Amino acid sequence: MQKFILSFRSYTSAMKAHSILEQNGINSSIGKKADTSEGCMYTLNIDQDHDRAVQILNKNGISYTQGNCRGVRR
Amino acid sequence: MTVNFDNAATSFPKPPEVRKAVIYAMDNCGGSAGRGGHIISAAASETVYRARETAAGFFDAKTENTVFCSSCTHALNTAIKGTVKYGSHVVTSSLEHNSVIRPLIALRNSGKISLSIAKVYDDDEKTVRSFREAITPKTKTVICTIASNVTGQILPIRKISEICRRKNICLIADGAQACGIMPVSLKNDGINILCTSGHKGLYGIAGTGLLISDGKYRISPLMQGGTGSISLNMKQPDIMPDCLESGTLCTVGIASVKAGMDFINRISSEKIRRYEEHLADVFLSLMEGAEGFKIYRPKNAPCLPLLSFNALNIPSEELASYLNGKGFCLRAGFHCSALAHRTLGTKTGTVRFAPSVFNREEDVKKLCSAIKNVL
Repeated sequence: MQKFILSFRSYTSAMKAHSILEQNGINSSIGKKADTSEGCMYTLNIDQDHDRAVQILNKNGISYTQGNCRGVRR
Repeated sequence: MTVNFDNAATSFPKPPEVRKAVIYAMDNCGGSAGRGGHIISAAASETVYRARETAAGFFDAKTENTVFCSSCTHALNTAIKGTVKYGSHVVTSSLEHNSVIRPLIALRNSGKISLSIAKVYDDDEKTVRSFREAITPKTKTVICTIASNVTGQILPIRKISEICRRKNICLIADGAQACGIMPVSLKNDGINILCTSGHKGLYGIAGTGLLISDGKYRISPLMQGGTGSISLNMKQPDIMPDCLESGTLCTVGIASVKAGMDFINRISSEKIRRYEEHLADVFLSLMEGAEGFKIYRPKNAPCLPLLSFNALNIPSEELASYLNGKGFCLRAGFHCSALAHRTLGTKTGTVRFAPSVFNREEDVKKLCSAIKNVL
């Protein structure tokens, strides 16, 4: 399955996104990545309902960027 | 037998769940929160985030605007120095702790701000008028304690916040004594930035504090450094809470504050306050009117269950030392509140009685007997 990954500038935003998606029945896992321009960032790996996940995050005003990562899954 | 009646400085003992949370964090969350991606760091990160969520819910704020500090003093210094504008006017109350008044005096002495002190009265309306009269068109910040750490007097924070809101003034509230004992809500109380300690009414361990913002006013960081985020940029990140949390966080302490808030949520702050008020009432009923004894507590204003007193012929430190010998721990002196003691006119300080939910009525009665023996 193709990975759908969102990047966040802080761990708190990533965890907030993770919690909100979880409340809406969407599973995700947090990872960390070393972005070559920004440095340390956090990622959310979403396996399902990508479009709905993005809609939920947008509705809750959580900013993110889309991109690849090699994060640690929890 | 040792009984702690100095819970306004640090609450002790702690609820059993706080002890458990500290031990659990020590054993399982040993990494740096928000730093590595490995499992030990991730456990610490999640512990901190869950505590942030709990604190945000506790004070009606957003998770990202909930900042962990090392003390209320750290939080207040961050809030004050991070928001005041050069050349602006600041108003504060006459009952402030040194953690408010000292940073303000330092800012005033360096020529950065002008400062007015609004006198607090027994009568809330007079106090509100005092704030209204102290505010000028140049006032950009009001800093006010929610309750005095010397007399327990609760200030009319909602009325003060209404004035601030109408005049677009940033209201910073010192909740060190109030938080955990009375409901404090950024939304309901109209507070822009709330600062509190974690080790008093929130039952966490010492070395913990919180700064909680409603996000309306930008807070410049007191310190710059590692945040675990946007690390290739040599400028401090502007995102909350990272912006104000440079350096490795105290995961164990933060876990203890969460456990303390969970304890309060389980018991309810209403019940805790009612019980502590009962203990204060027992003290007052036994000591009020005793000859050679003076109580410092406003008669006509609402108060937290804490108060100060003096035996008129015994210096406060001597009295506290005598009580210590009898197994009662009470703090004497000026309680780091020069301004409050000056306002009250106490020349040699006072002894402070600050019970907690873990004190027993019979111990309050024994304390009163011990005091009466030396009057």
